[in-house]
Amino acid sequence: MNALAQLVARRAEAEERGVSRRDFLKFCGMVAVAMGLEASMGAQIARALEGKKKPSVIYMHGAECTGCTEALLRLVDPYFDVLIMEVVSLDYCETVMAAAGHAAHAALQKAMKNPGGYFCVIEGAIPTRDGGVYGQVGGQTMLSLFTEVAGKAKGVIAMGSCASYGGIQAAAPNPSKAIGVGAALKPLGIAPINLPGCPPNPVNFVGTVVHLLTKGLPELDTSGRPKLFYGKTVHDMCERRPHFDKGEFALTFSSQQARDGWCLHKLGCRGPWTYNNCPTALFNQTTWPVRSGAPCIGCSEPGFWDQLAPFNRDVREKGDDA
Amino acid sequence: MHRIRCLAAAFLLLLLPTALLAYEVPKEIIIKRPEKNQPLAVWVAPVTFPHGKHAVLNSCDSCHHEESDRTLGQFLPCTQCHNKPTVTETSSFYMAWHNDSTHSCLGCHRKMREAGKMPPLSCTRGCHKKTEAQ
Repeated sequence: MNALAQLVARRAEAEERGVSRRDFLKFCGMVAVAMGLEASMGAQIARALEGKKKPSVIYMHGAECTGCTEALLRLVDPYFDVLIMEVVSLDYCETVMAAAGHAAHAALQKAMKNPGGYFCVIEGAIPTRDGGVYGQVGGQTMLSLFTEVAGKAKGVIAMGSCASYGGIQAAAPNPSKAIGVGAALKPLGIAPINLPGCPPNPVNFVGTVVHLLTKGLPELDTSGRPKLFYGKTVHDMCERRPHFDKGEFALTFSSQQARDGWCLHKLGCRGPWTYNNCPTALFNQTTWPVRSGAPCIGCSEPGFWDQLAPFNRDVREKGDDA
Repeated sequence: MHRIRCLAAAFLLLLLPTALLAYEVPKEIIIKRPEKNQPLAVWVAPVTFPHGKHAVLNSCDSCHHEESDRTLGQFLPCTQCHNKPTVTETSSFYMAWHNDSTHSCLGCHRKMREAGKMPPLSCTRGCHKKTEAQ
């Protein structure tokens, strides 16, 4: 098949898939399940979403790796296009927008003047050393730009561990003195909804957005995370939990026990005190770290990175070597 | 005025032994699962909790969170309320120790770790000691 035929075939597939009513209802059902509701509640969510004007979303990138956006782009059920065309109006996102440079900045200015207001999503930590000069977009520091954008927003979502609590950007020695959105914008009275994870499951983002649109602010825990998605520990939902309960712990990664699904606690699993829904939401509808044989590293916890490292060994106790 | 203060102080001193007797602070408590509750993990033995050490470091209501001035002394053991056999309910025996709240062992130790301190956190090396031989 030549390139043109491939393109035509792909377009036909895209048109066929499109953003059909069926896709949209499927998406609503999936979100209902992620929110802990019956799948049949999807129809109610669909009605609630259809009755509203699509809210404008401005998606800002701070000090980060774009992994959270990449995770979001790999949404399958619904596809990312359903999300940004049927549920929200994504008016600014540096990763997926066609515009660049001054045109992109103009798009941002236009989106901020939306008479209906907008929601601000921030991915990545905010460098604050020396007035924030170590993180700039178009000559403006992230600190000042995010203060401006988030300050006028109807609501702020911190996407990923870096935006939520500083994450790997804030790990020692933290040369740019990066901090999370909540800490950086606290003087403005902004308390974001934190969706930590490295990356967070895109379902948590979609579910939070839908909850905001249909039922308002979701209930948050003491670390600012929606309890809908971060209400239980990874340990309590883990498929290796029966082995923990029997006292069956794998002692090496290469052992038969590790392959047989024994508990990875002694190999450094941080699941017992990590709140996230990885075991039930799965990544790419396929798997999650512990199923793949890697212990949970506690990436959605406020102390991540420094307080949870070193990884792949039992948690460091008093008197242990660093 | 001075005499009244002296009398009040003497009265309080007289009350002190009574108060100490009424609120005897145990040095150690062995936390046992309520008999009707099935064990979640077969290898987990009753935990010896250094109560005295925690009582010196924290105020009583850090853990005995249902106590107030009016109910002082009425809510002594955690299992008085936390005795349900489930794992998810706040009132369950399991969640008394493994909740996210700072009234709970794990929740408090996690918060302390975030603050850079080093309280025990590992399941098998912290509270539920388990050696390879077990």
